[in-house]
Amino acid sequence: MTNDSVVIKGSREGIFLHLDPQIEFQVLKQKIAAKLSASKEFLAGAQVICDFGPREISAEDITELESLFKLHKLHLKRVNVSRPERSGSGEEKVMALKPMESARGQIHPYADEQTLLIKRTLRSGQSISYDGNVVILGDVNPGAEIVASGNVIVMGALRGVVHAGATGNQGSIVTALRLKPTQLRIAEQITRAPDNDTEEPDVPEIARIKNGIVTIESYVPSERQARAR
Amino acid sequence: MGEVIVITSGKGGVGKTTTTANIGTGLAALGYKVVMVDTDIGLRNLDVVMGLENRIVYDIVDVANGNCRLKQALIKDKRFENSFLLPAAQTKDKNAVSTSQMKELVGNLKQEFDYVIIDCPAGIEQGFKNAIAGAERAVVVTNPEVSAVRDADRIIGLLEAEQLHDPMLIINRLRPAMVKKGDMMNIFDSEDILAIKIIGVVPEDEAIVVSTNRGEPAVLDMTSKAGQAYRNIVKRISGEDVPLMNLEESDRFVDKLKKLIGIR
Repeated sequence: MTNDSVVIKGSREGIFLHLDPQIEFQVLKQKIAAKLSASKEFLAGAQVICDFGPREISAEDITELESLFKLHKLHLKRVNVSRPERSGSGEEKVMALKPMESARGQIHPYADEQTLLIKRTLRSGQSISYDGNVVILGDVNPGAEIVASGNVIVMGALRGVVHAGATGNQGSIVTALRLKPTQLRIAEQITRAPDNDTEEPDVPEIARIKNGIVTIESYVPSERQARAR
Repeated sequence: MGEVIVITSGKGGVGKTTTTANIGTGLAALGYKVVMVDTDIGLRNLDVVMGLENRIVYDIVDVANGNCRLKQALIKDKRFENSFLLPAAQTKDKNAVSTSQMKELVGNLKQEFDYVIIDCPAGIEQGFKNAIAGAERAVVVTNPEVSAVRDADRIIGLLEAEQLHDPMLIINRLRPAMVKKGDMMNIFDSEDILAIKIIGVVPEDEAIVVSTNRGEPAVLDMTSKAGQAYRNIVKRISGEDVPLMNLEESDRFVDKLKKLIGIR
C-alpha cells in the first residue's frame, strides 16, 4: 500500500478525493484522516467529492465520512461509486448529497440498486436530490423537496415538492400513501392541486404521465387488479 | 444536576417568551430551583414579562465575557426565592456570545439549579444556535396557523440535526370557538404534520395580555384558562401525567359561575 491510495485534486466544483477501490474502507478512512490532518486548515470550508471507484459502500460508511469531514471543516458534497461487478463499464452512479445545513449527517443514503432509502420524515427546509429512485419511509412535509432522476415512493404523506424523472424520464412515477404535494413534477411537466381543491385523498395514489399530461389515480397493485377481473 | 430546556419556535410572536416565563414561574411555584435565561440579545423581553426590568445590572454578555461573576448577573424573582433570571444584553447583538461560551455558561447553571429554561430568539441564525447549544430537551411553541406550523417543522428538523430528539410541542393561542366553526387549524392538523408529542394546548386568553403588561406570569392566575393550561404543562414537564384539558367553552350558567369564582 502506497500513499497513492488517497489522491486529492482541486476542481471548480470542489475538492476531488480519488480513493483506491482495492483498500478496505476503515483503512481508507484512516488514510483520508491522515491526509486531511496533514493539510491542516488549508482545505477548510471546501466542498468534497469522493470518488470511490468500483466498491460496495454503506450508508454508515458515508455517515462516518461526513463526520470526519465535518471535523476538518469540510462539506461532503457528493459520492461517486460505480458498481463492483461492472467495474470500468462507465455506468456510474452519482449520489448527490445536497442536504441543506440542517440535514447534514442526517440523511442516510443507501447506495444499493440506484435506490435511495430514507428512513425518516423530511421536514421543511430539508432536500434530497438523487440520481435514481427515492423511497421515503416517513412523511415529506411542506417546504421539503425531493428531486430524483427515477421514481419517488413515499410511505407516508407527501406534502412537499417532488420532482421525479428530473433528467427527463417521462416514464417516472410518484406514489404516496397520501399524495397531496405542494407541487408535483414529472420530467418537464409541472402540476399542482387546483386552488379550490379541498378533497383529501384517503387511499394511496400514483401520479404518472399519460398522453402528455400528469394523471393521478388511486394506486391499485396490478395483481389485485387482475384478480378482480 | 439540573435539566436544561430550550423554548423555541422559529417564527416570532408565537409566545416563546410568555411560555418561558410561565413554565419557569410554574416550576418555581412547585418548589423547584429554576433559572430562566434570555438569549434574545438585542431584543430582550423576558425581563419585562417577568417584571424585573429595573433590576438588571449585569447581563449574559457580561457573564460570557467575564466582566462579572455568574451570580452577580442572576436576578432573584419578586415572587419566588427559588426563581432567577439571567437577562440578555440589549445593546449588543447575537454574535456577542459564542456557542462554546453558552455551553459553558449553561453547564455552570445546571450545577446549581433543578431547571434551566432558555428563551430562544426567533429565527435560525446565531441566536438560535446559541440558545440550543447547551440544551438537553426542547419545547417547540407554535400557533394553530400554517406559517407557524411550517416554521416549527423546520425547527424540529434543525433540532434533530443537533441531536435534540423528541421535542415537546405546545400549541399556543388556540381559539376553541374558531376551531369549532372550522375557521382555524385544530390540534390534530398541527400534530399530523409535526408528529411530535403535544405537552399542552394554551387557549387565546386576554388574561395573558394583562399579565404580560403587568409583569405577572398568568400561570399564577387561578381564574385564567391559559394559566390552567400552563400549570398542566409545568406538571407534564416535571414528569407528572396530566390529561389535556377540554377547551370547549361551556355555555352552562353553573360553569360560568364556577369560572368566576375559580373552581374547575
